[in-house]
Amino acid sequence: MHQLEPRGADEYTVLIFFSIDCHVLGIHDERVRKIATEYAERGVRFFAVDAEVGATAARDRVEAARRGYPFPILIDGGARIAREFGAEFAGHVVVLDRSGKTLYRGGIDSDRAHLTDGATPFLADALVDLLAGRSPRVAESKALGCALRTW
Amino acid sequence: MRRPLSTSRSAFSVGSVIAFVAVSIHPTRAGAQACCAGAAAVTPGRLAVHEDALVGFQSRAADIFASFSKDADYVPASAAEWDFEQDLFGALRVARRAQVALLAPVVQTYRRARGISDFGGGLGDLNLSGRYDFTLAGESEVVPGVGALVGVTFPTGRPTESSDAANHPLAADAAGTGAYQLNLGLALEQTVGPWLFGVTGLYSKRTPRTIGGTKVTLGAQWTVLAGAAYTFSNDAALALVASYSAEGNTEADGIEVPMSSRRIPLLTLAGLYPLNDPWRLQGGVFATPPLSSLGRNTPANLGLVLALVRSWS
Repeated sequence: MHQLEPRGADEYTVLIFFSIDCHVLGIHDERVRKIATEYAERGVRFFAVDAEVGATAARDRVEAARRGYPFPILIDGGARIAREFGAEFAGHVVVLDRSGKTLYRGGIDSDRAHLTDGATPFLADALVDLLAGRSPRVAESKALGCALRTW
Repeated sequence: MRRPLSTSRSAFSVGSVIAFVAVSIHPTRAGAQACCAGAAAVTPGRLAVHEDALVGFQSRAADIFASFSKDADYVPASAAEWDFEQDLFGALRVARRAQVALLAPVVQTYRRARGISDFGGGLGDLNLSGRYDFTLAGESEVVPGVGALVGVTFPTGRPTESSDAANHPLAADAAGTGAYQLNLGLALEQTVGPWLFGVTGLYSKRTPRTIGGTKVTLGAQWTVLAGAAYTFSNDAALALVASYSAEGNTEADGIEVPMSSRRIPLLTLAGLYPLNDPWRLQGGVFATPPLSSLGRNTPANLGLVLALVRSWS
């Protein structure tokens, strides 16, 4: 079982709100994998959070493996975490510090369903800034994914 | 038999709105997503859930190949008529779940009858509308997306009775209904996997207008649209929409004109193709089913509509 509280040397925790059906998030899977792999080595913990009705740990374990996520998908029963962080759309990301303070919230990047080289990498930029001891240059953006079916 | 010219523009406007509603069914997902679903109703260019604003251009052409008589008989056309319309439209999100939209149509009509042909047109009736989504499709497993719709159509287009008869013997320069129209509606929609299902009900009431000293009021109109759309993994979508409008008898100086009520059926097969995140093409083929008793006092048409939309998120 995974705990959301930051632990040990891990400076920051990233939560990515997940929907098994959302093609917009699926389109971002490769970027998510790349960011998670890169920043996990630098002490950032990643979790996907499945707050949708009908989510099961068994299904999401299979899904995480299928997508090659280097992090687990947590079940958010009752969508309490989603509500706490104001996550309404798949692909909504929050970056927390050790105390649980939200340092960044919003999209993975500025692309939606059509990936471009010129996208603004909001999440990666926030992590770069935080690991450099700065506040994120953009602390809030818009998640462009699908509505989470949470009730 | 041809339908009365005095109702032709009104029929075209309804068809135009419904056709655009069809191409505006824009589910844009393959799963439990509320994004972009449902009918734009009343005015085209509905914003998807992630969009803040959009502008678009729509072009529409229709062949009036028949009509339905006052007895609801299907009658093939004895004369040619083509209707064309170009619309500019825009929408703006004014609150998280509220949006407003404006549609500016430019209408052209080509008519040929009894050896006479006529081509004309101009600015049509401007439409301003608003939508508030109480719930979004896909948010809940049980409760569908529920949206309230309100709109006003302004009589900015030249009505048939103001046609320049000397230069337009078939009133092809008419481009409006000549009356204000208030539209109220309710839209329900839900996603099931890559499918979106939606039903929209609209109520329209027109203000009186004076024709030759007589105060004429078109009957109130009820419209139901039901549609299903499938979204592909590349964000492209196909939709089939059926609509049916029922309009009460026209009143002249407060007295109902018997057999003047109208029934307007329409089927639309629509498609959407995203060029990239901000740009999309929308188009469709629409037709009036050529079946007696389905329509009444209305033309039957077959046409194409194509729109290019630029959005901002």
